[in-house]
Amino acid sequence: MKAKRLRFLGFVIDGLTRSPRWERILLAWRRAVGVLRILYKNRSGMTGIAILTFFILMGVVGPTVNWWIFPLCNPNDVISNSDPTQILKPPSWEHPLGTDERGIDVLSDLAYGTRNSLIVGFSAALITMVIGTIVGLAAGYYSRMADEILMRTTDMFLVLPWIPLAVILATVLPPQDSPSLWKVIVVIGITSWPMTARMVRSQVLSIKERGFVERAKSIGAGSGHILRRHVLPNVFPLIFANMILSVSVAILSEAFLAYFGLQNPQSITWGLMLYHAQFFGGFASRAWWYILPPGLSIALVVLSFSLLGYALDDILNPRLRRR
Amino acid sequence: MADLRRLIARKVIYLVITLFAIATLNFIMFHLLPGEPGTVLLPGRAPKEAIEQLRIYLGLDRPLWYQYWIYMKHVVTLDLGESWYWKGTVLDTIMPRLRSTLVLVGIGTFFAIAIGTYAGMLAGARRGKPSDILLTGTGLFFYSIPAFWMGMILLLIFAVEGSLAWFPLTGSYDVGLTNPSLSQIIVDRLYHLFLPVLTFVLTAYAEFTLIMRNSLTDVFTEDYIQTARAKGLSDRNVLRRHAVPNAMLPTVANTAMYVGYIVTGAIQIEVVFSWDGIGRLTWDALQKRDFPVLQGVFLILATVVILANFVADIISLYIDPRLKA
Repeated sequence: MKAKRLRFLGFVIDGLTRSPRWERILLAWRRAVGVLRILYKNRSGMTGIAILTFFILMGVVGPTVNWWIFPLCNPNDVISNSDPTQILKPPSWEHPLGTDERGIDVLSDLAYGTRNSLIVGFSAALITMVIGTIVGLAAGYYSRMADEILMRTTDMFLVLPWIPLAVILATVLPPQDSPSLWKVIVVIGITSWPMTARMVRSQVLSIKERGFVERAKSIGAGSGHILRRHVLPNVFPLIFANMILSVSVAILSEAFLAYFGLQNPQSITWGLMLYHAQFFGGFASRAWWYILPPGLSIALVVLSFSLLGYALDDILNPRLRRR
Repeated sequence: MADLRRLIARKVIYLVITLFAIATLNFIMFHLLPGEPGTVLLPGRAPKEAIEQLRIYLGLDRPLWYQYWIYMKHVVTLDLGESWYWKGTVLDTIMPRLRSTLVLVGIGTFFAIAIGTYAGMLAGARRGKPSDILLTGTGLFFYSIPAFWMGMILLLIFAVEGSLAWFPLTGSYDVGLTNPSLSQIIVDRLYHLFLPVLTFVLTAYAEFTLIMRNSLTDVFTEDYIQTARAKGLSDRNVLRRHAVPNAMLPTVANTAMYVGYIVTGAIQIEVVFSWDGIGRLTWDALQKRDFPVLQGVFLILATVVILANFVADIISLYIDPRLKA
């Protein structure tokens, strides 16, 4: 191996040995930078990133920092933080978004809810991605028979009415009668992979016919190696774009499951806030300050993920680029 | 034609296999239930003997394969058992509610498809222009809104006491009407339908806008559009005679895929408005832990969705000859 001048993160690094692995990491990095450059010029993609940054900051920083102007409290600790004299009060200087039915600051609810909703969204999307990728790769690459069986199963899951399925799974899966956040994540993850699987499969089908796969085969590469080294790296950008889209689906799904009564009262999310708002007197006192923020947050985050996902899809999907 | 017949025959076989698989899935899911039915069905601390009796009555003491066989026999004869909470059989509990869901979904989907497809056509024809950005942007925004929150907002504006209060807060009909005439019933029903349908249309139309716009964008790259332009047709005629009819085909196929999505939206809306349909029933059954009804709802909804898909598949086979290949 020859020592060479390399550029990494814009710095020139001298004397690094160029191993094939290092080379690959570098290539992946350059590709990512290239995508980010195109994304930077994409207006809707940047809008998505801006909205998303705001909410991620709120979820990460909000609950941990006691803000100087509006001290937040932990809404999960109802006993020490609820205030019976401040139930469903409209916005004021003390409580910029008003208070909820327990007398807890809605802004605190929102900050903690943002954190939990985002956790659910990302984790469920990760499960979706893993299952969808495995099924899609297997269906696209292996025999006609495997493809047929896997795709029929996928089609079945694709059309199953989601709510009754999710409700049943959430009641049936252990631990019973205590829908923890993780259970909700698993339920969403194992019910929403079919779209990803279909997309991965169709990509694999076209990549399989390309020259480099043929060449790898002819020098005796096994299917495991081809899938790992040649097929997966080529599908991965699209899998990533798809995952971005499934985060938004997962956030919507969680909101609805929580609203449907499948939630853990200990971990507040946007959906749980809306559940409380509807069924614990938010309507009777016309508490718009309690109903608007969680719903708007859901809508904005889902919108930003869609914008970002479509922008990435535009950039990464060669079929769309010619438009 | 022989080809088409063979294709349809294959689809019918898949349909049967899918229905069979769903019934099996349903059986498996409910046999994962670790809870004893005795704790749900019997009051308080029932004696051990009573729980044992119930197990024998429900056939839970038999081997699993035998239970499966009996279950399949019942499914085929549409015998879904007795509801634990409501009086009567599961089928009698579900069917009237399915009807009122179909009313809501039917009217809503009609308007959503009409408005959505039209908006998508306008956006697709003026790609990149301000009107496209406006239409697609609004569409994406409404698409991101959870249906149940949309319903809550509309209730907050139009129904809650102290607001405009133009529409009823809950329910699918007025219980207070004595001896109503037919016209009174219809007016009352439409009055209760308005907000749920509006919510449905607002949250579902964008799906069709985006599909139609994308599909038009695809069509505009085809050679026959170039040809039509070269023949000297006006933009309007190219759009109306060549682009839109071809762009409609994937819309039909996609609509089939979104039947399940549409049902999901309807269930959310029913819970918000206490609309007396399948969604509300699922909610109630979940609260009352009425597992036979949950099981029945899943089975029947899945069957309805799969049949609707099948029909849409067949229709798109007939109108799009390219799919026969």
